Amino acid sequence: MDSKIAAARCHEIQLTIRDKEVPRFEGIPEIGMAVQLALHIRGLPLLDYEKVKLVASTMLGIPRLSVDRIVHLLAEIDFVQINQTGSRITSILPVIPYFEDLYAGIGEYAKTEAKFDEFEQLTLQIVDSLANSPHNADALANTMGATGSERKAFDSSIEIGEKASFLVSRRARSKTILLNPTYFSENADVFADHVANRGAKSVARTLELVKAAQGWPLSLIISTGEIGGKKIAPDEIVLLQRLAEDGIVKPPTVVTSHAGENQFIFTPTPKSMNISPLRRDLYEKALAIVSSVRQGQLLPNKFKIRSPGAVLYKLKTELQLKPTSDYSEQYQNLVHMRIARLAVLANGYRQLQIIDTPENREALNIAYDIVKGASDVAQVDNEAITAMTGTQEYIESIVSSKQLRERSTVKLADEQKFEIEQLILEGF
Amino acid sequence: MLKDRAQKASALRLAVRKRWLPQMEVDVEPSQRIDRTKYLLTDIDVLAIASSPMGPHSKFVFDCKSGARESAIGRAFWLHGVMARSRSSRGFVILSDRVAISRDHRISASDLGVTLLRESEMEPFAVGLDSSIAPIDSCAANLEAWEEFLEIKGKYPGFTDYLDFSRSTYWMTKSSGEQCRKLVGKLRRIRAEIDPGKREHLAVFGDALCLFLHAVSELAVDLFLLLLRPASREEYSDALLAILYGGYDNLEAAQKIRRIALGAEEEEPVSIFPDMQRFEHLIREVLQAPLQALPAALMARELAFRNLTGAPETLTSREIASEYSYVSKFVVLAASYLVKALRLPPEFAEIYGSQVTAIQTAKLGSTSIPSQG
Repeated sequence: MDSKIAAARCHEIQLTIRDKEVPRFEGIPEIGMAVQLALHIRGLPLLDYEKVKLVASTMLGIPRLSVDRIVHLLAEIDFVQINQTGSRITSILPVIPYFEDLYAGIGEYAKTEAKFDEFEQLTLQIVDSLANSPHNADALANTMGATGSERKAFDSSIEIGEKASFLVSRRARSKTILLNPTYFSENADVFADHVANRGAKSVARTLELVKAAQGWPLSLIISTGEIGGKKIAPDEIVLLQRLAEDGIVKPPTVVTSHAGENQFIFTPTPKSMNISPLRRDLYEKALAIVSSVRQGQLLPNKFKIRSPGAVLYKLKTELQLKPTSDYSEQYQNLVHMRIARLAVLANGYRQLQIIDTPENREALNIAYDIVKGASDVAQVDNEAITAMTGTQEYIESIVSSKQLRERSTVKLADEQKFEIEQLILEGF
Repeated sequence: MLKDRAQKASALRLAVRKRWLPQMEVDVEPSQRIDRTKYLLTDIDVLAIASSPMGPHSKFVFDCKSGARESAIGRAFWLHGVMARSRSSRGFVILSDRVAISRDHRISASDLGVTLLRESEMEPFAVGLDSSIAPIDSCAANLEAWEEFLEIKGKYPGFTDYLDFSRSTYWMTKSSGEQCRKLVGKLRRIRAEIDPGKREHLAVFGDALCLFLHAVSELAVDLFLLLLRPASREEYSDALLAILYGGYDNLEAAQKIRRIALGAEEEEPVSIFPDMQRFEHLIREVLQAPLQALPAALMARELAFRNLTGAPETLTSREIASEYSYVSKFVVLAASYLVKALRLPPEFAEIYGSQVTAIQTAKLGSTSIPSQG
C-alpha cells in the first residue's frame, strides 16, 4: 500500500477510536495522531506547548501522555521545531508541508521505521479495501488471501474494528457485509444490500462515476444511461435509484415549472462533515448550492450555465450573480435555507444575492470543492485551531463548552434503536 | 412426512375450492406462559379461514385420523377444546371408513359444534357445500408443497423464530391489530437474512405476505365498522394506530417509550409503526373492497408455494383473479408496503407483483370484448 494512503487510513481509524485504547494497535494510533496534530497546527505561528497539549487532549482525541511522543515524531521528520527548557518542551514552531506532502512525509516515516506490525498492516489493508466500496466479508478474506489459519487474524481484525467502530458489519441477504463508516455511514443498509446482491465492484464503479460528476440529476442519468458523459450500467443506475428512494438520507431536490421535480446525486456525506450538526448543516447547504447550479447547467429554463465552476467562483468572490428573468425557480431552495435572497430589481428581473455570513461563505467553498471534484480536505476542527492560538481564557471556555456538549448528546446506537423499535412492535 | 395424508389432502382441496385460507399443522400454544420453556398443547391438522359477510372471519378446524381404532366422540370432545382455544366456530373430524359412528354420537358432537365425517362422506359433504374434493390445480392445496415449506425451518435456523410465529403464535393471537403488528416485527427481524435469490426465502416472504393480507383483511373490516366515514385524516390515522396497538392506553405507552428512547419532547409526534403513511394508504385501499383481501391472502399463498416448488401458474390462481378483481392490487400494495417499510430487498415486491399482475392481466384480456375483423 502507498505510504501516503497508509497514513491517511491511520488518521481515519484514529478519528473513530480517538482516545479509546486498542490493545493490539500501536503504530496505527501513533501515525493517526501525528496526522491529526499536524493537520491542526499547519500554518500556525509559534505555539505555547501547554495550550497545544490542552487542545490536543480535549479536542483532538490525543491522550495528554502521548502528546510529547507525537510532537517528537513530528520533529524527527522536520514538521515542527521544538523549543525546550531542560527536557520540558516550552513551545513548538509548526513547519508542516501543504497538500499531500503532509501524508507523504508521515507515511514515509512510518514505512522506514516499520511502524506497523503484521496485524496492523492487515487491518490497514482491510480498511483501505473498504474505502471504495463495502465488501462481502468472505469474498474480501479470499481476495486478501486470508484463508485457512490466516482467516483467524482477519476475523480478529474485523472484531477489533467493530468494537473500535472503524468498521461496521451488516447482514444482508444472509451474507456478512463489511463497511467503512468513514465513507458509508449513511444509507448503509442500501449499500450493504447492493453489495450482497451485485458485488462490491458495482458500488465502487458507481461511486467513482458520481465522484467525477457530483450533483448530476437522477432523471438525466436514467434517460441517457450516462453520468457526466460516461456510460453507467443499468445495475449501477439501480443503486442510485434505491439510494434516492429507500435511503434514509435523501438526495437534494429542485422543483421547477419547466423541468418538474429533480433529484441530484452525490457521493455519501464524508464522516468529517457529520462530526457536528453545524458541519452537517454546512454540507447540506453546499449540496443545495451545487444542485441549483447543476439544474441551470443540465436542465435549464432559457439560459444555460456553461461552467458551474465559474458560477460558483463568482458567487464565492462577488456574492451575487447577474440579474436575469430566468433563474429564480432554480435557486428557490437557497432562499428557503437562508443562503441567499432573490432581490427584485426595478426592471422586474431578479438577482441572486448571497446572505453574507461565515457559514454561507464556507458552504460556497465546500460547494466549489465538490464541483471541482476535490477530495474531502476539510477534516479539520477549526475551533481547535483557533483555540491553540487564542488566549488561555478562550481555550478554557471552549474546552468546558465542548465537554458539556459531549455529555449532552447521548445517542442510541443503531442496534439499540432497532431493538427498541422491535420491542414496541412485538411487545404490546 | 405428514401422517393421515389422504384426509388432509381432501380437507385442503375443499378449503381452497371454497376460497377459504388453509393453514396446515398449526401448533396450539398455551393461553399463557408460566413455565420458562414453551410446552405446546397439541396441533391442528388443517385450519381454514373463511370470510364472513360482516365482522371477523370464521375459523374452521379439521382433525384427520386414518386409524381404525379411533373413538369418534372422543375426538369430538378433544376438538371442542381445541376450537375453544383457537376461537374456531366449527370443527370437522375426518375418520377412516372402518370406524363406526353412531347417530347418537353424531348429534352429540354436532351439539359441540363438531361434524363427524368418514372419508367416503367427504365428497357428498363438499357437494352439499356447493364444492368438491376432486383433484385441483393449486399450489396451496398441494400437500407436498406444504411439506417442503414446513421443512424450511430445519434448513435455515435463522428463520426459526419467524416460522414458529407464523405457524403457531400468529394463529393464536386474538386481535387483527396485534397479528399485523407482530407479524411486521417478526419479518423485520429477519430482514438481513432473507435473500430473494433463494426459493425457500421467496416462500418465507410469500408466507408473510399471505399472513399480512389476512391480518389486514380483518383489520380493515374492524376499521370499517368503527369509522364508516372518517371525518378527517387525523381521525382515521388515530383509529388505525389504536387498533394496531390494542387500544389508546397501549398506544400512548408505546409512544412514550419511543419518545424516551429518542429523547423527543412530550408533544413531538413520533413514528411507532414502520412507514405509517404507506400503511394508511394500503388500508384505505382495502376498505374499497374489504371482502377481497382474504382471497388476496390465498393468492399470496398460491404464489409463495409456486415460487417454492417452481410450479407453473395454476388454474386456481387464474380463477381467484377472475372472481375477485381487487386481488392483484392488494397483493401488489401489500408486498410493496412490506418491502419498503421493512427495507427488504426490492426483488421480493418485484417478483410477487409481476406474477400477480401477469395473472390478472391475462384474465382482463380474456374477458374483454373480442375485436372485430
